[in-house]
Amino acid sequence: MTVDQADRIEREIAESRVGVWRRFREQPFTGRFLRNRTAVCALGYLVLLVLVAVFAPWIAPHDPDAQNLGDAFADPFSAGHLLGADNLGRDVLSRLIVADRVALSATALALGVALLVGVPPGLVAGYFGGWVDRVVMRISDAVQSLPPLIIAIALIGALGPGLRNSMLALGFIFAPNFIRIVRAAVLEVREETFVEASRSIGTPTLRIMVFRIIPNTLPPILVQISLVAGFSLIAEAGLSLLGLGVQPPSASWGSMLGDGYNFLFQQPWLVVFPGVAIALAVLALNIVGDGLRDAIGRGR
Amino acid sequence: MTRLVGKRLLAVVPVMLIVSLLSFALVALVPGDAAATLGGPSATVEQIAAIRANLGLDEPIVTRYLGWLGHAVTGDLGRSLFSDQPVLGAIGERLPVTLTLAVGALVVAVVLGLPAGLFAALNRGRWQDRTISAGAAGSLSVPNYFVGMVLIIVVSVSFGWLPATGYTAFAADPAEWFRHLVLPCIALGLVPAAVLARQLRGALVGVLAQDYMRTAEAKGLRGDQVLLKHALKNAAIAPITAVGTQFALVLGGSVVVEQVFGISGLGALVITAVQQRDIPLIQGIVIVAAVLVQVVNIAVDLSYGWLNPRVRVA
Amino acid sequence: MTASPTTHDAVSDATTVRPVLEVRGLFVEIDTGDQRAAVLSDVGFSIAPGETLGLVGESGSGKTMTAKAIMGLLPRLTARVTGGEIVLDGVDLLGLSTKQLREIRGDTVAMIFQEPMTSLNPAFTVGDQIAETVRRHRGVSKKAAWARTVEVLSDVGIAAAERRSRSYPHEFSGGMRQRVMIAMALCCEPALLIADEPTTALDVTVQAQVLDLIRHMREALGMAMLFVTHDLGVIADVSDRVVVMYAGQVVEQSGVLDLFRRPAHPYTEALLNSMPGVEAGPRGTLLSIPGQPPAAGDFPVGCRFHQRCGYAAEECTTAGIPLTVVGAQETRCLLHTDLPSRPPLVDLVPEDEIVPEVLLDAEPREPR
Repeated sequence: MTVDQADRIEREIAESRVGVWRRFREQPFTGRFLRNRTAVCALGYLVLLVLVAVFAPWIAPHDPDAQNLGDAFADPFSAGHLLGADNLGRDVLSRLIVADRVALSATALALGVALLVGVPPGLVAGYFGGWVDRVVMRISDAVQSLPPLIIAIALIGALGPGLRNSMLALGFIFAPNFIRIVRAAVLEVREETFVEASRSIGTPTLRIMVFRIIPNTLPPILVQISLVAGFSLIAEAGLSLLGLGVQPPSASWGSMLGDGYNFLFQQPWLVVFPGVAIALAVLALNIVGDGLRDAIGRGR
Repeated sequence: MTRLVGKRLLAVVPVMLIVSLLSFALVALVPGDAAATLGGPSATVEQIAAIRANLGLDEPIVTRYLGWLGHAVTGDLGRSLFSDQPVLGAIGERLPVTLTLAVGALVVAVVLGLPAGLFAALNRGRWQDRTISAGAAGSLSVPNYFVGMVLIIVVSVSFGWLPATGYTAFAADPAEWFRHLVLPCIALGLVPAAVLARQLRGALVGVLAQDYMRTAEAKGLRGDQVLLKHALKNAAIAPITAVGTQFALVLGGSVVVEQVFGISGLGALVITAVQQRDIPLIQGIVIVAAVLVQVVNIAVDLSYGWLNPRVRVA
Repeated sequence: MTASPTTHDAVSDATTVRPVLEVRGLFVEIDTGDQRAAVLSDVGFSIAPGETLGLVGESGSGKTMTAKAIMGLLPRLTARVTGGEIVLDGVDLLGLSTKQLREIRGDTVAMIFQEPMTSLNPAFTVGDQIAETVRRHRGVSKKAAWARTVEVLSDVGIAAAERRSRSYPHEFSGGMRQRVMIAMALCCEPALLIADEPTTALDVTVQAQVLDLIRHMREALGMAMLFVTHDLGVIADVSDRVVVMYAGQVVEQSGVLDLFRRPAHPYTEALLNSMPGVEAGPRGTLLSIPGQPPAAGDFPVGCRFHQRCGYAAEECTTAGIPLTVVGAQETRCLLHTDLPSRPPLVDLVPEDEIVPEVLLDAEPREPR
C-alpha cells in the first residue's frame, strides 16, 4: 500500500467517524419520520413509558406490594384506588407502574442479547461471504423456522424459570432477525466499497466498512428493534402469565394478567388494565416501526 | 415439478440437523451437574443415577448425540424423566388438540382476513381501507391471551353464549367440540387474520393495476370471476407465505392460549415438562414442532409452483 | 362483404345503414385529485357495419379514453361520464347496469390492447383464458369451449394450436401474445372490435404481420372496427374513415383518402407533416408540431389548438369552435368559414405533394 493510499484511508476513517451521527440525523428518512404525526405521537408515548419506568417508585401512589385485604377487589375509581385493587388489596395502578419498569428492562435485556448475538455474525457473514455466510444463514434459517415461544419455553426448561433466563431465551430467538439485516446492509456497502476500491485504493479495510456500515444499517435496525421489542413484550408477558418469567411477588403486566385471570369472575378489571397496558405499548412500538419503515421507503 | 419437490425436500435435511443439534444442546445448557439439577433438591441418589442413565450423561458427547440422533430419526425420542412414558407417545396424545386449534385459528384468519384484505384493496385510499388498516394494526398489537380473556369475560361470563374453558373431543360430541373451539380459535386467529389482510391488500393493490385485469374486465367476465379467479391467484403468493409463517407463531401462541382456555394440548404438556424440567420431553416437543413447521413450509413453497407457472420450469 | 363501388365517401354510406356504433355528444370528466377536469368534450362519430374507423391523435388527446368509455372500462374511482350516448347495436351502453354491460363486453364488442406482454394473465394457460370467455358468453360445455379455443387460435395463425393452448403466456413471444389477444377478442365473433394501438409495442417486423392479421380477420368476420392509433401510416393501411382527436375533441372527420389529400384541420396537416414517411412537407422540410398538447383541465379557450397553430387568428381565441361540414369532411376550424383574412387551408396544400408513399401502395379500401 502506498503512502497516498494509507493517507486517503486514514482521512476517510476520520471523516466517517465524525459523521456517523450527523449522517444519520441528516438522512432524509429522519425528516420523513418526523412528519408522520401518528408515529411521533406513538414515540411520545414510548418516551412517557420510559420516564414512568425511571421514576416509578416516586410516581406510584401506593406501595405496589402493600396488601390491604379490606380493599380487595376494589372497583376502579373507588376511594384511594384509581384503577381498583387486586385480590390482596394491592393498588392496581401502582403495580402497573412498577410493572412498566419490569417490562421495559426485560425488553431491553432481550433486545441487548439479540443485538449481541445477532450483529457480529451478520457482520462476519456479510463481509466474508462464502461458506461462513452459508453456515450462519443456515443456522438462522433453522432458528427462524421454529415456533419462537416453544423454543423460549424449551430454553427456560434447561436454564430454569425466571425473568432473566426467559429474556436470554427470547434474545437468542430474535437474533436471526438482526443477522439478516446487518448482513444485507454489509453486502450493500461491500459492493459499493469494492467497486470504489478497485478504482482507487485496493482492498477496502474492515475499518472503513464498519464506519460506513453503521449509518447505513441504523435505520433498518431501528425498524427491527421496534418490531422485536413489541414481540418481546408480548412474549415476556405470556411467559410471566405462565409463571415461567417474573416470579412472585414481583409484578409484571403478564403476571398481573395471570393473577387476575384467577379472579376473572369476581373482578374482570384485573385483567383488563394490564392487558390494555401491554396492547398500548405494543401498538406504539408497531406504529413507530411502521413509521420508520415508511420513512426509509423500502421493504414491505 | 417433481424436481422442485425433490429439491425442496432435500433442503429440509440441514435445517432439521441444526434443529436436532439445538435441541440436543439443551442438556448442555442445564446449569451445574445436569442430572442433579434436573432431579431437584429432594432427589435420591438412585433417582439421579436414573436420570444420568436416561440422558446418557456418562458417555462422550459425540457418541451421545449420534446415538440420540439415530434414535430420533427412527421416531424414538426417548422416554420422559418422570412418567417414563415414551416421549413420542406423550406428544401424540396431545398433538391432535393443538393441531385442531392451530388449523381452526388459520381458518379464522382466512375467514376474517381474506374478505378484509379484498375489501380494503378494492377501496384503497378510502375510509373503508383506512378502517381496515387501523383494525389490522390494532389486532397485531393485542396479545392473543388477552384477547382470549376478554372473549371469556364478554362472550362467556356476560352473555353466557359459549363455554369459557375446556375441550370436548370431536368423536364425543361434535357440537360441543365446535362450541369449545370458537373462542380459542378467534383469540389465536386474530393476529394471522391481520397479517393476511395486510399482505393480501398490498398484493391485490399491485395486481388490480395490472393490464391483465383490464383484459379480464374487457372479456365481460362476472365480477367474482375477475376478482376471485384472475386477481386472487396472482395476489396469493405473499398472503400464503404470511399464513405459512404465521403457522409457527400460532403453534407457539397456542401454549399460552391453551392455558387461558384450560385446554390440555401440547402447550399444557410443554409447561408441565418445563416445570418438571423433563428434558427428553422438551426436546421431543421442539423436534415435533420443527417437523410440523417444515411440513407447512414445504406445502407453502410447493403452492408457489401452482400459483406461478414460471416457478415450475426453474 | 357486399360488392360496392370503390369510393372514399364513407360518410354518406354510414347514413344509409344503421351504424354498429354511434357515439353522440360524449363528455367525460376525471378526478385529478384537486379538481374535476373534462377529458372528453362532445365527442361523436359512428361506425357502419363492416367499416373501419381510424381514431387518431397524440397521447392525451382522449382517443384511448374514448375507447375505454365505449368498453365501460373507465377508471371506476376517478372517471365519470357526464353526458352523451354510446349506442351499440341500438342499445345505449351508458344506460346499462354493470351487470348488463358485462354481458356485452367480450361478446358484441371486444378490445385488443397496446401491451401484449402484460395483457395476458400469467397464472393461467392461454387456452383457459380464451375458453373462459367463450363459456361466459356462449354458455357452452367445457369441451365445446375448448374446441372453439383451438379453432380460433389456429385462425390467428398459431401453429399446433391444440398443444399451444395449454401453454402459459410467458412461453409466447410478444407478437404471438398479441395473436392470442386477437384470438381472445374474436372468439365470440363480436360485431365491433376496438383495437387500441395493437401494434405499437411490437417489433417493426412483427407489426406488419399483426396488422395484416387484424385486417384479414376483420374481413373474414365482416365486423366493424375502431382502430385507435397515433400512427398515420397505420391508419392509411387499415381505415376507411378517420376521426382526428385533439385535446378531448373531435377536430376532423374525413374519408381516409380525403384526409391525406386535403386535411381539413391545421392539426391534421401538422400531423401529416410530422410523419417520418413524408419526405416533403409543403415547404420541403420535415415539420414537427411546436409546443406540447394541453393537459386535461388546462384546455385553452377558443380553438384548443390555436396556441400551436400557424394559421391562428384573433377569432380563434375567443369562443369554442363548432364542427362544420366541408364537402364530405367535417372540421372544427374557422378557416373554412369566416376567416377572410387568410386563404383556405385546402388551397395551401398542392394535391400531388401531400399523398404519402404509404398510401400509394395501400390497396384501395372498400367501405361497406
